[in-house]
Amino acid sequence: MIINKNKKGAEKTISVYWFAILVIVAGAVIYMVSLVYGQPYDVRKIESEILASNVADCFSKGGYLNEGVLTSNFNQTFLEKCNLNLDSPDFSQSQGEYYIEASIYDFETNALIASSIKEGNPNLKIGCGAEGNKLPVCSEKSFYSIDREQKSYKINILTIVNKVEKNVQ
Amino acid sequence: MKSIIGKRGDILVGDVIFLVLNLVFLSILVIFIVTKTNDSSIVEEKYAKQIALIIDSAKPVMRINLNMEDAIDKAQDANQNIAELVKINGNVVTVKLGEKGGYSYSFFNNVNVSTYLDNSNNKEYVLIINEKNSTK
Repeated sequence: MIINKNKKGAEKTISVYWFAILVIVAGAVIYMVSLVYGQPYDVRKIESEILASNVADCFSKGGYLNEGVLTSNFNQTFLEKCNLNLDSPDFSQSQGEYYIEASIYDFETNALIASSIKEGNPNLKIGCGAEGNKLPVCSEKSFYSIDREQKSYKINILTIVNKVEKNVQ
Repeated sequence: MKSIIGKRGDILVGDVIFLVLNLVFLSILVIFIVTKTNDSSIVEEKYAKQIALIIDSAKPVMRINLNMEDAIDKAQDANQNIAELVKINGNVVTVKLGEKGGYSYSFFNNVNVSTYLDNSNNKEYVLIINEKNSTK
């Protein structure tokens, strides 16, 4: 018959190990929960894609280029015509949380037709392609359209949403 | 052979302390997780951003019903008026489920938005999207 003289000591050692395991497991759970629920929801990618789609809808409907797009005063009235409001009153001391750039090219010659539309905060453009956490999110969209005379155009749209304060911790 | 009579009591006390400490430890962990996951600030942020994105992708004239049952339950627990959880000022959506806090998020679609609680079920909020200068 085996008599374990150190049974009590062994149990105490197991308890210490058990608590050590509990602490490790609890630490891991707390870390993961904090990681998931501590981070804000980052919706900027969806937001920039919706913005690009809205601009695209404004430029072209049913595959046809909107006639007003090629007029000289379209740049000045772009935001109004496209029903866009780039103000962000929920971001204090903001220099602009959005940036939109759109260019129309002749599909045949690839020449720039209308002068590029640039609205919002142009400083955000520096963040596109850069590496890091607290950077704006960029979306690019390119599509083809024709006018009523069947002339074809290529339209490039770049949209940028910053809003780092509320989407990245 | 050594007798073990009279030793049971010692083992039991140790085991009970061990079990109690384990339970306390696990209870604290569960309370932490439940508190974190049911935090109303997370729900406020979720709905403020969701409503802003819905408005951004909406076109005049649209009526959108948004199920906000979990948010309404939390507001009721906090004795808030459930008819005033969502407010839209200019192009900013604010969702507030308690006395303190609230979360705001802006949208870029330049439309007129009105919102109200659907009284038929008290679980949904209705968003009405109209053109900016529309009186509808």
